[in-house]
Amino acid sequence: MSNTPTQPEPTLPPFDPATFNRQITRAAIVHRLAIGTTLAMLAAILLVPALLDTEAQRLPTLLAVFLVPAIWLPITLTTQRVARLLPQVGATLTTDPERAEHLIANALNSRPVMTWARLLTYHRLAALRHQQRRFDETASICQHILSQPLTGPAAAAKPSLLLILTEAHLALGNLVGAYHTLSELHRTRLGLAGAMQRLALQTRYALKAGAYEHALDHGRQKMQLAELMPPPQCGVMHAMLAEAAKQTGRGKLAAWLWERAQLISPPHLFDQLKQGTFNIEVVQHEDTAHEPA
Amino acid sequence: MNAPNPNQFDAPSADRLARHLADHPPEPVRSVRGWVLFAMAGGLVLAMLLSAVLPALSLLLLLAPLGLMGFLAKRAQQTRELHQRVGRVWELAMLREHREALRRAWTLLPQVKHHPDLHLRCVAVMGHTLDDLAQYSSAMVAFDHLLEHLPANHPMALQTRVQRANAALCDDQLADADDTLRKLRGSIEQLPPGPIPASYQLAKLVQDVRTGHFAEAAQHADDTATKLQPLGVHAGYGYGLLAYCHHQLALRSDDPATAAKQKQDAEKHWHNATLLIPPAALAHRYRELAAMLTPHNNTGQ
Repeated sequence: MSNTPTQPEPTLPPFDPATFNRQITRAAIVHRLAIGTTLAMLAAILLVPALLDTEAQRLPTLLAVFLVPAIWLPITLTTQRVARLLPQVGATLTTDPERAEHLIANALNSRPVMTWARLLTYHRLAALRHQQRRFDETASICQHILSQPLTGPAAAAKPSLLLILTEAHLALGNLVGAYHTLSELHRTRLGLAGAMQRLALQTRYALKAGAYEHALDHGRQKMQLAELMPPPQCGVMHAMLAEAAKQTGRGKLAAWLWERAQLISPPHLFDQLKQGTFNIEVVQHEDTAHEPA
Repeated sequence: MNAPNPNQFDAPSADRLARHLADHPPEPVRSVRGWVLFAMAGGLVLAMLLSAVLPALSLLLLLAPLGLMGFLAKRAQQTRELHQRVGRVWELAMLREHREALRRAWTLLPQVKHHPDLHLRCVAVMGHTLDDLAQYSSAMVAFDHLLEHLPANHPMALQTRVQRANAALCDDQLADADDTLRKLRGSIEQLPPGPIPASYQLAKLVQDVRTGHFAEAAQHADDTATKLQPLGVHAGYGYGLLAYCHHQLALRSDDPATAAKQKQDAEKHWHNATLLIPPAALAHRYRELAAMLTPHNNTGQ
């Protein structure tokens, strides 16, 4: 049945760790079964003719011809279908969250599927919940994904998961959790966009923890990196550094940073910043990350 | 005679870039998916037929799909690597490592011709870096190539048109830029405030400065300054140009009170400009702004 634009989009139930664990375990079992069966069939084809000298020696070959494709084809085709849905989710995440949720629901209902595709689907769900500011659910999804071995294509999602999780921890006021994920982020190889987002999160963490001096360390490098951020994030960084400068008694630096923040930030954002609200999301999702202007 | 340094990459001339782009145009994507499915189905049928008479040969045919899957995995890995390399080129461009970004984009171009999206990204990096290196005619060649190959409704197309107009203005091709800006006006007015309308506003400001329409620019200076905000730090160029307009009006005014007011406005905008961008960088980008480096000497007040 095809969906028309007028039909209500199905929404996903809240994240359930038990369902997640069940789906991941199932995917892993199916994958291992497929590999095991293929290896067993190959072994049988090689060994049976050597052991038996009857008509039965052709049986493993005949079985393999039907069995191996019958096992692999559904897994491969479904995984491919899910893999094709994932970029569409990324593209609609900010513009059409309902559509993104519908696509994720479709991907989660597809099986059998390889483990990496299932994990990447949950990564997109975490990104969507983060976008919707449902931070409790976001943190839970990220923690469960990160508790799994991230291999193959899923390995590339680790930096993004850590960034989202750090921001969720900060939004929930969980400084211990944020400290651990920031430490993990420092051990993870990040691209330029990731490094900029980590810097913003680290500065917000330092402010919340009262580590104002730490926030101003390597100020020149931080400013250079901040200038590459999109204007709202750049403005937030300036405001956070200005606050740190004010708290450490560097009035002149604070005034200079506030003046820059005012020029860079959109007016509505600057009003929030002036009131000391720095809880403005800085993590951007892969498909919406900015590029050189 | 000194031999050219192989480690140094000079920005290409417009002709050289046009030749490079013509030698390595984007080519249609060759999909192997159909062939792979056909080969797998064929292999399966053959394996079924041969299994009755030659079990050993059918084993080989069973292994063939595995080889095919290995080949596809290798292909996917190569594509991922290309994506990473082009991504790194973008990062270098963002970090203002212009010559290195340009060199890598130039070298990558032949390798990405079967990936139209990566090809366009490489050309976009070339346009962006050449523009920042003040090689405006070469940058325009890159922008023209992008406009030729981007779908008309692609989000990058409008931005590229604005960038091209800006490059044309910097290259003193005023008639060309005027034509482009006039055609863009309708589309820009329909957009909500954002980087593209802000870039358009900056281009209009450059046009006013280059054509000597200082009074028109100064008249709407505050409104223009608000519209430039989505450019972030780069709005500094706009503030610099606004300061220059007020500065010129101060120089030309016979009335001391008016001149003083213009001078005051020039100082205000110049302060904002230099708050965001170093004065030397402002003057490097727009040659007129060199006059602002010693404003008190020039206003004669």
